[in-house]
Amino acid sequence: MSGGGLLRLARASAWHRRFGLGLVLASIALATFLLLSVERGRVALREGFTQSISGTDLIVGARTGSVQLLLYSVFHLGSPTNNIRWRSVQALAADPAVAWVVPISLGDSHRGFPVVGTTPDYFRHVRHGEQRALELASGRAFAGLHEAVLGAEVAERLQASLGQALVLRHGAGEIEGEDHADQPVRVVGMLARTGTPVDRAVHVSLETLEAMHAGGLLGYRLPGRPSAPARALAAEDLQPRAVTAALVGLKSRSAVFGMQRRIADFRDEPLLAVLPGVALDELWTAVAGIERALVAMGALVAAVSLAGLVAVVATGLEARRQELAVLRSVGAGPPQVLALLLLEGALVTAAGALLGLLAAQLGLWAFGPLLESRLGLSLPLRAPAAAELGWLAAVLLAGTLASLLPGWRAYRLALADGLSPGASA
Amino acid sequence: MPLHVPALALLLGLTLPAAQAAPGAHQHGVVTLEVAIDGAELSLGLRAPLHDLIGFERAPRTAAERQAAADMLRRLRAPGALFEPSTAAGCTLAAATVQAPVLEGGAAEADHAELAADYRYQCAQPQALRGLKHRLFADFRRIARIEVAMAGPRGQAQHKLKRPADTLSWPQ
Repeated sequence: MSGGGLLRLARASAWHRRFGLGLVLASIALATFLLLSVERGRVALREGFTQSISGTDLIVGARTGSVQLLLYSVFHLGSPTNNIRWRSVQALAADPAVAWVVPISLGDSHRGFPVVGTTPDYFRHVRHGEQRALELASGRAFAGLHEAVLGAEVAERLQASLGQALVLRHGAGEIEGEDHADQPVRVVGMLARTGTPVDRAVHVSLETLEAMHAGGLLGYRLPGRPSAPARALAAEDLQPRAVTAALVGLKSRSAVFGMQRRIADFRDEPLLAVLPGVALDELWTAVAGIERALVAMGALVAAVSLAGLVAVVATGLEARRQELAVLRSVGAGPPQVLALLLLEGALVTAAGALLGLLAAQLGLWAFGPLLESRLGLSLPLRAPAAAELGWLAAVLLAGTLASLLPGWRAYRLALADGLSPGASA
Repeated sequence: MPLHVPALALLLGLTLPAAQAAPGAHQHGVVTLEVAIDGAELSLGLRAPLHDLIGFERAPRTAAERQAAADMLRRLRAPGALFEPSTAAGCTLAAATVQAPVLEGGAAEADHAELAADYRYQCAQPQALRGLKHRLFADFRRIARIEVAMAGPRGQAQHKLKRPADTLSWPQ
């Protein structure tokens, strides 16, 4: 019997069993889809984190853990153990090795979005991704009192427009009445999307925060527009006394470790300086186990659907005993029967894996933008990365190997079977 | 990034182990190596508990101890093959300073004492700088782990080297 004839028969046989094979194909496609999606999500999450801060040599804050300092200053997660004095920030800025200092003051919120008090230098020096600067989508950076610049997500969720007034709330925003209704801030700018925590922040000047917290005591009320007396007050009374942390850029990268030590030995108050990139790596070491659990889950799903492939082919084999016996009787040897089953398994797996890849790409195309705006996960449509190709190859290999088992059974069965269907395996 | 918030809150609730050895922390068996690359300059900073280098952390008392301390200091002051940046980068040692006040009689003896060694290399081809070979594990048997903090043109990173890894490499 010619190979071509055998293939034609195999095709017809597969078509005859199209429903069962279709189910296997679908389950392999789903498993591949899941594996690829987990892998992409994992990579995107990791990149999202590492892209969140760049170009900053040191983050300085009160003495705590290095990861904690990174988390609250960059990701606005958790809370600081202590503030640092404004005097320390000034001392830092005066150090000859320091190129720039951007202070950050946290603690207020607007509808759940953190309010970041800082200086206009923030927009000049804070970088994300590969040294990308912050860009204004509209408006300008804040210049005076009671002006706010919104992150892209805040702007989108609040459907904010330039000139709109916002009432900021003291603390995390849970307590009614703890708001600064007497001193609303006006939106003067909105930032372009970065895929970093900047998107979720409301930025105001340190003086604005100071005025809001001191406003009741000093007795001036500024309904949106700072008046001339308020500007006069700004210089003396609106000087911040303490901030949460400071981002520091150095003139020379080689100075970073020496500076870190000098800050740790700072005499006026206990301070901690961390290299944000080093602290991020530390964080990843801590969460590596969970990352692995995600991958393991995807692999388990793939294994289960491959077990399904084995089950379906093996069950189908019982029904195909006679078919295989007929094949044998017309001259197909055991190796040919084995090859046939192997080929079928490999083709079904390959088609399933391809379908899964297609589904993953389609899913990205359809839901990528939604994921980016809702979760801050940046998932661009792109060719599969090396790790994803690795997973695809693993699925292919496993699927082909899985079809070996029923193939081996068929190899042994075929000889005695068919002619005496009652004989057991 | 709302996704990060619950995920991280959970993770942080779990624990944050192995925090970076803060400046001033002292853990026997663990040395820190700071690597900074700025233009053509490669700076290395080694901070090691004296115990890991010579087995004691006080002024030497016997002739053997004095000998061990002197040998170690000589070895670190002329590092030679102790650190070998990628050969293609053509780096030459420009400056080396080693400070161990306890050994040199310059400091009152505390419970623990450290050594600080700083090296500066000038590299002809800094773009070819891909890594660093070291003999810390080979030369000092008490060192179990090296915690590396890096600041280079491609950003900052942390690496952990465990015995017997003798090469530190970083993506170009």
